[in-house]
Amino acid sequence: MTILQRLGTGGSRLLSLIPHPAMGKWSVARFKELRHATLSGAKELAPSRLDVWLALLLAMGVLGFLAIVVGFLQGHEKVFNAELGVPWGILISTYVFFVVSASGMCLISSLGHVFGVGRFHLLGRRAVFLAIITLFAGFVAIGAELERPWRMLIYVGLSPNLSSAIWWMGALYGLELIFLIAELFFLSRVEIAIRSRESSGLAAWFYRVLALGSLDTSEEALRKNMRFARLVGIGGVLAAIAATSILGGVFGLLGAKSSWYGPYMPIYLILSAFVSGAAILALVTLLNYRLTRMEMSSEVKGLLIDLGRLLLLFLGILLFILVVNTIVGLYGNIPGKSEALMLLVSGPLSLPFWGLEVVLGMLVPLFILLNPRTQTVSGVGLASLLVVIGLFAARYDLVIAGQLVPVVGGAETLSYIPSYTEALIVAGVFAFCAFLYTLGERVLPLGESGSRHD
Amino acid sequence: MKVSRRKFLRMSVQTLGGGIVLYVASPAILRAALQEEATGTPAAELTREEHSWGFAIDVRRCIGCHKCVQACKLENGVPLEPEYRRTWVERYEISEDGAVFVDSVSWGQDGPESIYPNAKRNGHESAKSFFVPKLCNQCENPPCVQVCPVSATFKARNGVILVDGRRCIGCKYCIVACPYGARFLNPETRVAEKCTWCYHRITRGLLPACVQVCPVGARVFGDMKDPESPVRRLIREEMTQVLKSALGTKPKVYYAGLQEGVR
Repeated sequence: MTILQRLGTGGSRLLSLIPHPAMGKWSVARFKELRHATLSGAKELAPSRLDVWLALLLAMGVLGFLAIVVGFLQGHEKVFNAELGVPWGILISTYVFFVVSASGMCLISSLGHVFGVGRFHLLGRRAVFLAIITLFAGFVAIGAELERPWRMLIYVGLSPNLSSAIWWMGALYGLELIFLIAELFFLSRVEIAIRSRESSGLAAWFYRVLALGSLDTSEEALRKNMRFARLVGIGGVLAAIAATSILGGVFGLLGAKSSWYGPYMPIYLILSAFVSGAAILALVTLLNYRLTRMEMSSEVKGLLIDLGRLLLLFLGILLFILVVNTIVGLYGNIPGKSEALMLLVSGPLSLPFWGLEVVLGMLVPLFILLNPRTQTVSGVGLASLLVVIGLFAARYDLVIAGQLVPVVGGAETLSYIPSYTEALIVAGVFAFCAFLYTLGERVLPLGESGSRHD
Repeated sequence: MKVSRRKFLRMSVQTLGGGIVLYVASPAILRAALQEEATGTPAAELTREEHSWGFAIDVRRCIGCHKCVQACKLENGVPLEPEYRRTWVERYEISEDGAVFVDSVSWGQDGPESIYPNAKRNGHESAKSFFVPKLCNQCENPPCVQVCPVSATFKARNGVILVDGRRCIGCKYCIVACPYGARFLNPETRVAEKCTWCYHRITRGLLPACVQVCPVGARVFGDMKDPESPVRRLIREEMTQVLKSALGTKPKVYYAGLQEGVR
């Protein structure tokens, strides 16, 4: 038995002490049953349409990649608008959007995998897989913004600065990514092994590699895998909380920017991680069913309604602290802070702030989620879509407003509008994310791990 | 008292020797004693690492000729576009009713030929106007050093903050973190850059280029350990303040004659 196989199927005695909360809902027989259901379900989606969709996403992703290359060749100061005065542009806000969403999905999926709360185990591996690719998408966005990203890989190790929030942010998000990948592996190894056994040729070899060569599909192996999944799941939760907090610290630790400075940023980002995570998971789960025209079980419907309730709770808290922070900032007339908030409330950023972040992204979804008549699966889906759009704008408002107040004399206010190259990179990152997700949905066992035919 | 010849000779030699030693050493002893009183050492006697450089600006002397900005760009190879600058000069106008207007036409690079908007600003009557030269404050508690993820920017032992361009990854965190807007990303080297008080000059006993060319002595440079250095003299004789002292960065550029309203 190789070390990898032992990792996949074996385990220490200590590990057997950790029960898995969703253990009763997992069994190899269930997986096999689901596998056949998925195979018959997949036929419903016309392959040609899926191929067109994948090709479009890939083309957009390639365009975005070319824009990144152009940025490096031409120099960012020529093709990016984020340079002088406003050094951090839409690529940084996109990074924040993606990595906070990833942490949110990691935390919400852990409700099922780690804490055994309600129906959340139904989110299954889809949540973990989505967290992995959004985290990766975030890394691509910030990598495109760095002037010399390849040096980072060397010097974060050779000459780390432990007082730098960005150093810790990078280390902790890297750790989160490792935990998430390990979690996905342990959650899906048995099913991947089943697929390897049931397929032949290239597909069999592909799944064998994904399972790291360990094809044990006994119930005992599954139980051990689930325990490992919970262990790394706990690690993932801790890393996600720490990473999101220190991302708040990247902004909140800067005395130079009084609109960012203080404990508000980490608190705000952790809360909005839950909002972002719940919204994306509800939206993607719903879209997955609608697009493949698969019938939704009452359990999955219940899960979506639960996600809607979770969204309502955290959105309400988020709106509350946003209101408090805005009023405190405006009331105090503190130089820099009140000026930055004025830019949002009645300045050049008032459209993204009021229109997208507050009304479209918070008030309308809150209304939909509170109204008994729209407390449906579709209602949750629509609210989630609006929340995701609103949060993308919120990240932009957060990153840009703080920088528009000049720290030196010479300009009344600075201005920033993303350049075409920057916009193309953002679109490319989104498309690449959707491409990876669609591909993953096709080749990986990401479906609900519970019953679909009850 | 009877003294033998041998003893007399010995005493004579001892007295003479002691006198010579005292004569040669006394200036040094005296100087040491005096300096101990004034707590300092002449700058010339300090090694490169023992220095503790300081900078002072007398705002009332600056006439806005912008020679400093031009000299800095030539000396340090700073890109000539006005928005890239290690040092710059802001022009303030304070109106009768206390409104503050700032303009730094091309960050002061084009010199006095620039036509400044005159007197009336949005209906405000101009009361006084003045120039404020700015540059890196070489903070005692530098936020830029704190935030750099790869330790590319650091504080030299003599207190000057430097950037190792070979290590900089261009994350621009230091630019965002600097409360004084002293940093920028050099479009040619693609790394963060800022004023070093002309480190290559001051470590060879020369003045920073901007200080050297200032025709009115508005910019003053020297060693903070040397009580006779121009910077110590100015701080001793004038009322000075630093920029944004509330942030606790402890800047080492001292301003004399600064007006309320300067950012």
